[in-house]
Amino acid sequence: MTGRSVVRTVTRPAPFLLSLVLLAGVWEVVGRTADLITLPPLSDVLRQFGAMLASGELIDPLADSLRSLGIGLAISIVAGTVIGVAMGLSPAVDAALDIYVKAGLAAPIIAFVPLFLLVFGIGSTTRIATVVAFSIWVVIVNTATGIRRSDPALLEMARSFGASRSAQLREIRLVEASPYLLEGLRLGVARGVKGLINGEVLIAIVGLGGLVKRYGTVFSMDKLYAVILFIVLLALVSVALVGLVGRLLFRHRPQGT
Amino acid sequence: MTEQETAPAAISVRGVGKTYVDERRRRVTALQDVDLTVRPGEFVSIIGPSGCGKTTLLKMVDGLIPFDHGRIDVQGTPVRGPGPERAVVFQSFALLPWLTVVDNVAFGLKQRGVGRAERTRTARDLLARVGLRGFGDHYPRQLSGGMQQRVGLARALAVNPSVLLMDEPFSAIDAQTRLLLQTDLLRIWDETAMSVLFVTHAMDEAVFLSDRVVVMRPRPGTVHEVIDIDLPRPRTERTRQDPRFVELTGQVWDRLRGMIVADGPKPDGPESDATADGGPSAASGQPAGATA
Ligand SMILES: Nc1ncnc2c1ncn2[C@@H]1O[C@H](COP(=O)(O)OP(=O)(O)OP(=O)(O)O)[C@@H](O)[C@H]1O
Ligand SMILES: [Mg+2]
Repeated sequence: MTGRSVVRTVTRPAPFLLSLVLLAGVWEVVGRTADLITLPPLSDVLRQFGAMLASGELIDPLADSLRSLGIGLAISIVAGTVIGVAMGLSPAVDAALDIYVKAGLAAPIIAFVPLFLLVFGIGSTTRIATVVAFSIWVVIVNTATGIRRSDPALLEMARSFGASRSAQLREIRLVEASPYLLEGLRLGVARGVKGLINGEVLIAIVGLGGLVKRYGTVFSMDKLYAVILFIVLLALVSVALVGLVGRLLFRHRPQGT
Repeated sequence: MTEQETAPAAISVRGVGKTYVDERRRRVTALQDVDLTVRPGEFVSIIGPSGCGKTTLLKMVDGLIPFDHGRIDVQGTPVRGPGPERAVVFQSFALLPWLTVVDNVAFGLKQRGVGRAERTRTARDLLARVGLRGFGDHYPRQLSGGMQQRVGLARALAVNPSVLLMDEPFSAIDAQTRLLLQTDLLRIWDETAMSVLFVTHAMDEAVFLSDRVVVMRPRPGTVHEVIDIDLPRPRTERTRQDPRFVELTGQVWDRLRGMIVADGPKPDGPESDATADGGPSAASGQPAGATA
């Protein structure tokens, strides 16, 4: 789900609220009547959610997770943009790296986590590496595509008026590519959150994913669901934040072309 | 007069040739042995059938594309790339849609390191001169085509060029607006010492604006004939009714008509073999078969 659609969903509330209420109702009823150990009623989960928030037991794992996410995303955005720009500008660089980027996009990155774990240990480096490995490819691909789409007529105009190569990049190519950059950022953040939690579940002792693993193994289902709920909210909020940043950046521009 | 002879030409093109190699590795001779002079302060138009190399020539004078043969000098200095004494007005306007009109006009000044306050002031002055006072804070897409090209003109004038290069600047603009732009361009040109090289497809436009009209012919692109336009200046709407104006426009059309008729039935493209074994041989083969 993209940031814009999250925002749109929340600002066009009627159908969304209806589906939410329906889902919650079904969950509650099934949870109460079926009496499954794997599906506690929603009210129990929400009560647990509130209790966990109040007790502050989510705070430390959250801070821990967010720190790895933040560092990993920063690396992906900076390195991904630089590599993407180089691929977009130079056919040689593109030819050299394209295959790895395609592989990175398609490969099940989760398979690399045990490897990271061996190389980097159970510290935050493994999680940072996982976030990067999940998120950098979409940043690269979107940046390169955006850079390649530059309008030759505008570049020619810039050159005619004496713009240096770096001025052409800053003032024409990157600005024209900004919708692509933003889309890469959005997808990168979504994948980064996914990678983070996946990694933490595998590592099993740290962060929010560590909580998932812990509660899952001891069958505290209401706590498990509460953490999952929290993670889903975290993912939605992160992606919505990117959407918001994008809208702030483009705020002053008239729409359409 | 002696002074004018010793001063270097605004633009001097000597024996210039250009061959493109397209994606299918075919060679297209866009220009061959082109000679052209624009004197200081002169207004020269280039007219010719589509594909005769007008845009190529203009871009070479601006230094945007390299040439294979000959030499091009601007004010006595060989062209090696774009330079501060030249500015271009583009057919497609080439405005940056994310910048306001003022920032678009100031683009060239910014590239030269002129500070924000100063370039904004210059840009607003120029907007007033091209008749766009009060539109500085608009975005290009909020303006009509004619107004957008006025922005393009202001952007070129902002860098205070001594040579102005214009590639079909008014071709995307409706006929009435076009007439107004022509007179405004002449007024602005009159106020400066600029030399102008102006590419167009419109014969009346070429005659109305120019001191000389350079007629080019295609395949390979080269100068066919130069026609002196001896209409008095300043030129006004009256000029368009002048019998001499009509006569000169007719003269330009005479030269062009020959090329277009000769060119007519051929398919577009640099290869002529296709036509050679296409139409005539097939046609001459058929009666032979019919008699047998
Ligand atoms: N980048 C290019 N690669 C290959 N061939 C080209 C290239 N640019 C132009 N040509 C060819 O060179 C010739 C001259 O093109 P040019 O655009 O200069 O003509 P023009 O006189 O400006 O035409 P028009 O009146 O249609 O604008 C044409 O045959 C064109 O197909
Ligand atoms: Mg052209």
